[in-house]
Amino acid sequence: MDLEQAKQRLEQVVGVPFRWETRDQWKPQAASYEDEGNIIFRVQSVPTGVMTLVADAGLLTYAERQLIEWILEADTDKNGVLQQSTGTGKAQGEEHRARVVGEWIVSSLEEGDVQSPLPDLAFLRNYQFQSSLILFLDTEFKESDQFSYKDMKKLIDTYFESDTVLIPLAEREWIVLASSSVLESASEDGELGESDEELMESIALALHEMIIEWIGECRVSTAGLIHAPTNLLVAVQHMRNAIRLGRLFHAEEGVFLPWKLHLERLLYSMDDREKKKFLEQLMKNAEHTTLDSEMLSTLQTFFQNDCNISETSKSLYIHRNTLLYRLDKFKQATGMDVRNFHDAVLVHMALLLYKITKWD
Amino acid sequence: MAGLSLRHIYKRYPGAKDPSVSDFNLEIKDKEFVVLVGPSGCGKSTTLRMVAGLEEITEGELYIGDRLVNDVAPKDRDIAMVFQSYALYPHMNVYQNMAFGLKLRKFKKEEIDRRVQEAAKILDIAHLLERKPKALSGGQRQRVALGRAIVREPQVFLMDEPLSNLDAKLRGHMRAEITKLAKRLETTVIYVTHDQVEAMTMGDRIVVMKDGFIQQVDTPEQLYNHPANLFVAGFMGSPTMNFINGKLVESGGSVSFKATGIDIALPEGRAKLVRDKGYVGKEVILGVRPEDIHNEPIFLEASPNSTINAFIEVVENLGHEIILYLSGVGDVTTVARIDARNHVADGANIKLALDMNKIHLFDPATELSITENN
Repeated sequence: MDLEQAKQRLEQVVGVPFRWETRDQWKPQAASYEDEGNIIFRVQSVPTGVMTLVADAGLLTYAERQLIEWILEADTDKNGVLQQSTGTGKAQGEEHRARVVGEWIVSSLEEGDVQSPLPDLAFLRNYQFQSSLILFLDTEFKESDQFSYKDMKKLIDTYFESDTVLIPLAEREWIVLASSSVLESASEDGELGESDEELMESIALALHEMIIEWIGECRVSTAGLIHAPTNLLVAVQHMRNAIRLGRLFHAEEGVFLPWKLHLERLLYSMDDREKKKFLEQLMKNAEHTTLDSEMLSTLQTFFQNDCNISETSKSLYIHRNTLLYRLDKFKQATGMDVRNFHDAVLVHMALLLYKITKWD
Repeated sequence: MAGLSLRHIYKRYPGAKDPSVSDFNLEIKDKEFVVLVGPSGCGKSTTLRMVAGLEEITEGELYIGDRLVNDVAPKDRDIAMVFQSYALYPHMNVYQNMAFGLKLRKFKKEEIDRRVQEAAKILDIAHLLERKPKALSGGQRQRVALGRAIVREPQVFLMDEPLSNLDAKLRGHMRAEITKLAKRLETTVIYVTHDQVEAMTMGDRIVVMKDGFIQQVDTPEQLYNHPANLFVAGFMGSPTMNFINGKLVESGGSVSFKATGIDIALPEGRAKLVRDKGYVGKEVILGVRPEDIHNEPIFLEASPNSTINAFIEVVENLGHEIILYLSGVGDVTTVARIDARNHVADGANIKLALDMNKIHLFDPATELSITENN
């Protein structure tokens, strides 16, 4: 059904005349609004602005207005074109709805308004925001002819074995909302006492590996369960920040969890001059060659293994004496023995800063 | 199943000074088990990830069968991967984990069931199909990860350090299992490991890599007995090959290798080779494997021109053999592996002889083998 046919059908059913109007922009967070005795309904974006349908406010009841809003939102495809309610139409309507929410999230975050209420769109009332596991995907690939929203949705739904909400944000960013029951499934038969955070991490890790295998490189974060729609923006912001910090501090990894990046967040917030000063003071005795790639990976692995000599040498596939030799070499060069807790803390922080600070 | 052809493949990361993989050339035959081995950072995993499609190929061509796949997405390459991490889907049971890829590819339920049951039987995990990953041991999880790959019936299996998360005993067991499995499935496998024991025991052929370059490609036996350069000679074998810096000297019609505490004559064949190649009078590195240094009286008697006298620093009795750490030969510690029935003690002198037919000579500048044809 084309737009003109849809307008005529609407006029027949409601018995009210409508007219087309193109507006420069659409500011309200709603599908319609009242202006100078008219009700203006958003239909679709066009190159010159936003195409709207306008009717006399006095001729429409509240219920009719709600119904028209609902029809316009539910039965428009991603280009906003009205269509019949076939299966494909339903899927496309879903995609359109997700894009509307995505646009709202992006614009709210750009404006720095994380407390912004959800737009008053009829279809959002059925959205499952509550008690959902929220994940953030930052992909290396863009949507294209070979890879569409539909493909991604199918992949994610299959992974979670249920209908999920997939919201595209910017070109390479996606939000996934999955039922919290996935956590219950993962914890079944498991050891007692494992925290939800560990389960969330294992779900994110496996999702990361799955997307890499099926589509391509990506990074994953999760903010855990969100309990109310109002938490949505805050959660997205946390996950975006986690990905940003993760890319900076741990570029070789693919899953970044906000609750594991506290130290990185703290260090990142330091003034650039302070960062440099800290590094210079700590490494004042060291030559630049002290921190070659071998030494860096040795120290990082040592910290990842909780300063355990055996585990570290196993992870690095080297003899423990080789590891001890390297640690002694570092001690000689810097005066810091990472086997000592106090020195280990300082060196760990220095290594993190080293990644984001130009040291010369 | 299919063979692979990697032609002049390079991987360059933006900002990196040198390529991570340089001019990688390799033809892998259908049903061949090829192991990529080398130290951390040698480019073996990057190469595998390029074959998988997880890393872009900067330059060169990759064929799977007859198909050029440089720009083909991972899921469309007809390969299956097993990684070190093998992150199983935690919310799915073993059956669902194995069926996942087939479900996404819209296989019929009956076909999915047939393949999962068959793979479970092969891997001896049929009794675990209802369990969630958390309820499995490390070895069982590894089997499920393999199962996930097997059900796909891919043209090529890619495995990246799949055993390194397992303890030594289980690793040995799974090593044999994977070899058996590859033979049974008659499939092409590319297997990445840092562990030369895995490489030696599993591969039909081994590709030794260092700094992004292939050092040598050959069968385990050839690689062990005929290393092309110093790196391969030192990387393959445990304890590693002994290297002694010295000089080749001609006197009385024969060529000898001389260094601190060692003056041994080369057999005529090797003497001719080094003469022909112009190494007489020059510095070389002699390589000898610990098991090619003997102390049996009969061997000592038969090898009067290759005996050495050494001081025993340490004796390691491993039960089935004894490892001796010796000084007095060359400038570094020499290691010899002798029969466990010997009675030797540290702090004593010992007379040994080198098996001169098994020694290797290397050019100290190029590090290439002089004794192998290259």
